[in-house]
Amino acid sequence: MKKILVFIFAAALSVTAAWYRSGDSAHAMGMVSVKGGRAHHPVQLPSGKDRYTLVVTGTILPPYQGDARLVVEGEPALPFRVYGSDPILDLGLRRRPYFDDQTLTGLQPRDRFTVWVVLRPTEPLTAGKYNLTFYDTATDKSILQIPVFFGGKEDHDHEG
Amino acid sequence: MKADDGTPRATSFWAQHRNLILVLGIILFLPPLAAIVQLTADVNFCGRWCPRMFFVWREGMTMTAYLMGFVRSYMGVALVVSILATTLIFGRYWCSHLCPVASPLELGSRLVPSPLKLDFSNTPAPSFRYAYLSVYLIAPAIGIGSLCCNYCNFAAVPRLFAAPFSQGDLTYFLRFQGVVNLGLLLFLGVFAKGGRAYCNLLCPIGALDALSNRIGAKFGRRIRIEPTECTNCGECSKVCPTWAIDTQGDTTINQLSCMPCRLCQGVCPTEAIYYGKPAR
Repeated sequence: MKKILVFIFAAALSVTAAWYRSGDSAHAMGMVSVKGGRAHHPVQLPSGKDRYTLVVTGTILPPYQGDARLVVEGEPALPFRVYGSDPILDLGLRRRPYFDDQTLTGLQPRDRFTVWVVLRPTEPLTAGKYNLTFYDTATDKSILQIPVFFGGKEDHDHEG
Repeated sequence: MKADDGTPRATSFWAQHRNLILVLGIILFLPPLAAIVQLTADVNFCGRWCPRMFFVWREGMTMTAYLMGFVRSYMGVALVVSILATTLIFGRYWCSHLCPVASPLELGSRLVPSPLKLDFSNTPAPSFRYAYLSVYLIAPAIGIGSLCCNYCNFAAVPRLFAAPFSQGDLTYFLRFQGVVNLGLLLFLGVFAKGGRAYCNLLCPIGALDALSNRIGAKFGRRIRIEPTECTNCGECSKVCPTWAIDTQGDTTINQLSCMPCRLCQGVCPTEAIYYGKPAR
């Protein structure tokens, strides 16, 4: 009997945990390409938080190569910081892009990258749309744009 | 008495060097060195090394997308297949000796004074574990939500080690889900008696590995009790980090929770516990 009750309790707890989202973070995914890239899906976040964290992961589609700068675009301007995900001690076993001065550097076809974007609204956001846009630093062309909606339905996709 | 692996119990390699192997796992897999994952140009278990997500079907997914998950996480697939295959034959050595995600929790728990430790041993672990695993597999498939990345020990532990050095990894913990993950690691790991409550209750890889352990128990090498030698003193049960030993009535080992950490072997006064194949 105790085993059955524990099973039911654990299942109920797990369903609640799977369902619940605080809405202060989400996972944005996309593919970088010379044709402007492709977002897997838009990010949807609730309004009213004073801090949002987005983990942004992507793949580089051939033939793109170069350096990419990530910016958050929209009105009113949204203060943001981007942080890389590089090895603490780079053993140099494999070439990989690295993050430096808000820029993903040395991107090559089929590379994968992860960056963290922290958004800090100075005043509570209401409904609105922003874009996470990657610009090629050499040409200033957009190579990936991921829409971020505030105030809509929360993103229930997985997070990193 | 000799252990079934051919060496006297006290000098068995896996028993004698377990702590060293736990530390080596941490050094090789986790930041700041993370040498193993750097072999594939990665920095942690996310992406190519993710062992938790590739087998989970999500609502609206196509078969192509599902299979691409296996391709994307090919090192994670190889890791999980290797773990389950070796467990069938040798028992859960990944969980007991090698898992770099579990090692810091167990080693950390040894630093916590006993009065502060939480004892979860009254919880029927398999019931909790397989309820969690069921929801882990079903919830994303029917669109309720996901436990995969949101409650991930393989994401949280490496980032915990990297956070002092990297703002990006620190950022992981500066949000609701990061705080929850950190709390679970502390509550069910570092502050749990034995340090293995997280592994025993919430790790989906541990749950699958335990199934493999149970399935292979009829022919594989496992921690076993020789009933004629056992006095039911209960010393083994006190040290078992996964509360796999039942001392009510004849002492038995639940192969759905046991891992060959051999702590029970070390304290058995009559040497009734051995690692080996089932008696014929």
